[in-house]
Amino acid sequence: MDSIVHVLLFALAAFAIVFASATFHEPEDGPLWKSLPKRYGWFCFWMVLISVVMVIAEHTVASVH
Amino acid sequence: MVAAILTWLLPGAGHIYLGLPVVGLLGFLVVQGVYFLGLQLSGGMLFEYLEPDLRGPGSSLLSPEIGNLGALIYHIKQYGYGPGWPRPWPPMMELGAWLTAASGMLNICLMVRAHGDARSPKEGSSELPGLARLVLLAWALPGLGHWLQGRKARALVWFGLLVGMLILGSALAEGSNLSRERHFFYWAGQFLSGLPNLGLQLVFGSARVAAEQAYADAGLDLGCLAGLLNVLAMIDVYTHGETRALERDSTAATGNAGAAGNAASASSAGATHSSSGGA
Repeated sequence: MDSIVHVLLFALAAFAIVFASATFHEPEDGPLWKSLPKRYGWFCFWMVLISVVMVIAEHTVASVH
Repeated sequence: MVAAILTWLLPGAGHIYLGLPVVGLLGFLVVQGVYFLGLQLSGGMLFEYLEPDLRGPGSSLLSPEIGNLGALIYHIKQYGYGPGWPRPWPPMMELGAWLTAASGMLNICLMVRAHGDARSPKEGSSELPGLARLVLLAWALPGLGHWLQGRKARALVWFGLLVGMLILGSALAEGSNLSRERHFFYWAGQFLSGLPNLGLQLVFGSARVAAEQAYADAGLDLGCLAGLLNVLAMIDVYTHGETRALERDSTAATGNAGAAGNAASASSAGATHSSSGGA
């Protein structure tokens, strides 16, 4: 349950960040709405990738045996 | 740029530099009046909110008061971090602390106004100075600046996202995120979401923490993010308005040049006509 809440909160914060970024790239409303899903997808992809790298780094470099 | 920097150092100074003393004096009275009212109500104890280990040379720079640099320097020089031992807060401490922060935001809008006045071709002929009002309203209520520019769909999304995040964050943190005393730096971020933050603070800001809060940190982050993103919304309002205003100024200048050219041609043709008639 806790993980689901955190994922949902991340999804909300990520959408707000992506929307804020998109408003600067798309002055017209039509292209803005159309570009949002792709931008959101890429943002989440890179965030997940960074998370995976961090988990691997923590597991291999920072773990204490 | 010079006018904006002068305003940052001393509210109204930029307008006096531009030869607009009435606007300068009015700006000075309003911005400094709000700061010094806040200073009186808080007894100058704002930076005593900071824990001793957070009190450094740059700590006060991460507060909204940075928008009114002259008053902030005076505040630090005059009151600093207090006598070094804990004292009871004045009864109107929270209001005083909010007013000094609001003065910083008001002065940022006065800087925007000075920048617009400096770039206007002629007083009253450009929309550039009016952008300061839109920026102020965009701060006061997320989305309002976009709404007034006619970008209503964006306005509704900005409003829904930012105010929604602020409310959700406050609910997750059970109001503990709204106290400037408890979260001095995060509060500075949340303050940027304007009056919704003030409203929530008035209603829930004094709630006591009676049990462990599972999502306090998440709520704090969401509330702070909402305020920081509102800065981007304010910049978007400004840049959109600036582009439109410059286009109109350019069109008006071209029109005036064209009219002046036509008048000169007509005058020249008239002179030629009367000259040939005389012959």
